[in-house]
Amino acid sequence: MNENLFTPFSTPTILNQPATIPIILFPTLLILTPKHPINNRLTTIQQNLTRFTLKQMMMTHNAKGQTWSLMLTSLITFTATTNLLGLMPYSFTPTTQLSMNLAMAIPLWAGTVIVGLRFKTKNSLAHLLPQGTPTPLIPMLVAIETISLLIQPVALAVRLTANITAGHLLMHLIGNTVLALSTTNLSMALLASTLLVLLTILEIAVALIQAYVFTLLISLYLHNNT
Amino acid sequence: MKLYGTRGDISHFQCPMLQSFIKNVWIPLKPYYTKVYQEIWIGMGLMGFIVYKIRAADKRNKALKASAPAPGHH
Repeated sequence: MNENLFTPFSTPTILNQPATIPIILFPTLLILTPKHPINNRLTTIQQNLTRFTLKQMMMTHNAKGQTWSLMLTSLITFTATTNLLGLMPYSFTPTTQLSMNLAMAIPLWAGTVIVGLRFKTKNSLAHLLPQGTPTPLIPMLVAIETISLLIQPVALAVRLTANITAGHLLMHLIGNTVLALSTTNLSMALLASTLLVLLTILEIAVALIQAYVFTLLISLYLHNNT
Repeated sequence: MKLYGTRGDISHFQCPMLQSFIKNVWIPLKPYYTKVYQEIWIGMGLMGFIVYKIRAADKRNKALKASAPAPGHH
């Protein structure tokens, strides 16, 4: 076991220098940039995946919303590759750090809000009041909707952080359990190792799903505001 | 980095890395950075402001703890 359970989440260092920036930039090395009209198999696979996600995501937006497609596609690609790479042992996942997720969520959420306020002011302010509310409830509901709007970036960031961190932590814990039980009670160790396999499959799904959810929500906020 | 061009009539220095960056990154992405992402820049300003506030509060907190250490910490 590491010195305590949280050492995998501390800033990684190379020769005592913080190495977060190379680690954050590392997934870009894995995304191949095609230069020819017809590429090799790996590039074509990545290209097709990118085209598929792009089409799925940006189908519902109008022309103004589709100007954000570059941003949203790179966001989902970055989050998915970062989360998946974090499932390897001894790796550092930048998305476990709340600072990074807040840094992703706040500018994008603020961007969607400002886009709405700038181009469709009345419409975006009207979102603060759900349809069909009885008149006496209006002031309270406006306050509630404003608070729920302001909490969106925090919710986005904390959701991603908590999901990935909790998953990694669980894998550590159950792995240690299996290791500790393997000497004393082998059948329980086998049971726990089955749990570990299932958990790893879940983690792969969670890594992808969280990336998707993050991007989808931002795309939704954008859709409301364009 | 070539500091002087190989031609005799160029008296300024070239920087091939910067030129390559401008040609491959800035020029294709100029409409995004200047028009589409204006609101995102404002959002980044907001985020920078929040980061500054958090850091300042942390520094204040640490300075307070350092100047008046409470007895009996274990």
